[in-house]
Amino acid sequence: MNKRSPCAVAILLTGFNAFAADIAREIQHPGYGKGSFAEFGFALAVGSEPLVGFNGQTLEQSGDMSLSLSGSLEGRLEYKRVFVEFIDNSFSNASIGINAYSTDKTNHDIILTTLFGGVNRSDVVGFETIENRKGDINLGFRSSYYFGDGIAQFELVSDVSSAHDGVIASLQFGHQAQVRNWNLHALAGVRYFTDNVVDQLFGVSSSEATETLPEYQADSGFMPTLQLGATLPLNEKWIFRANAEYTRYPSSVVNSPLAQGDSGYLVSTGIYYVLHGS
Amino acid sequence: MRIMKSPTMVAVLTILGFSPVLAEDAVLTITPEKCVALRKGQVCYQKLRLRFNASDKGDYCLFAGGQSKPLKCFSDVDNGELIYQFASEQAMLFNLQNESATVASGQVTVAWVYQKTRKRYRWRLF
Repeated sequence: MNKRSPCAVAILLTGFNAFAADIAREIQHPGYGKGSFAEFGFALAVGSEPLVGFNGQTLEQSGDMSLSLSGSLEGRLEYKRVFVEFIDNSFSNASIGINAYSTDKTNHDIILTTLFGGVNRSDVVGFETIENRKGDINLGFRSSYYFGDGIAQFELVSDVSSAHDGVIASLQFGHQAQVRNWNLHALAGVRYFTDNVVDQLFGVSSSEATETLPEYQADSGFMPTLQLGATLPLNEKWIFRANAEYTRYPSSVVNSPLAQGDSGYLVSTGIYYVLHGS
Repeated sequence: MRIMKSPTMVAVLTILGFSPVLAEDAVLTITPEKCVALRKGQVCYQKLRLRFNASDKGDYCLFAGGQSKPLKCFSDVDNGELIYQFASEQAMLFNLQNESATVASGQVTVAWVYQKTRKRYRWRLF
């Protein structure tokens, strides 16, 4: 269910203030994942996301491991209290927001974010009857709490685009440590999806069902994730980054005829140019 | 003629960009000259090679960061080398001394990929 699309948006960097960013970014750079920045580079990734329509053109291919070499852009533009961010290796594809309240230990943002992109299964053999799912746009808030080298982040958003009209909540904990010049991080958490979120993506309506594709109505579900990562500075402008992420799908997803497995993973390594690191 | 003997003068000239020069009769070369950490404030780790060449044989000692205890001393030589495990949050000056006089000097700087420029505001939207 995780969406990771390399961003391909050029960002003009201005802005000076510093508020909370997505925790996938924050935990790599506590206190520094904010402000404005842009990083672009190339990443080699190996992963598995056994969900029909997310990988491959056949049912069998959807369960295959994938290998990709792709460009990647991660960035954040912040001006006064308003920000736009595209964070790689994050559940969010893109977010815009405004900082509502900030202290040395907390950040509270109101955000508008895309979590699920559109899914087109019309090209997948045997699933041509499944209608396209539109991507969502969610409105909600994100609160971050800092303790030492750790961060906790809670997010609660609701779809305002009529894609699924559901609610998604997330609680994530991250910790980072320096070992010589390596910066290591671990990020663990769980996401909750109301039934209409899961059903929009993995349900099969009566009009979509066929003799080989049974009707399915999905329930709500919890999805735990674990991410481990390492970042090494190569010089003042280039960094090496490696990430490994494991996701356990909710049973309501696993039981869907549109799923071919119970979990997904992604291992990626890449080098990135830091355009602006403040 | 020796250009300088004062460690303070060596430091000033080094900062002004004259590193690693020091005296006509000795040169201290440090490689690499820069250590890069990910974020400002972090300790930067780097294996350094300190090499010196002097015109005359003698007893030389290498000092780091104004410490009174030498990193290593060399007897009756005109060149020497030391592998040093650098670990510091800030730049460090290395001196080569001969009979308590600094005859050569070099500096290792610390740089960062991410430099912190945070500002904190408290402001209520509602």
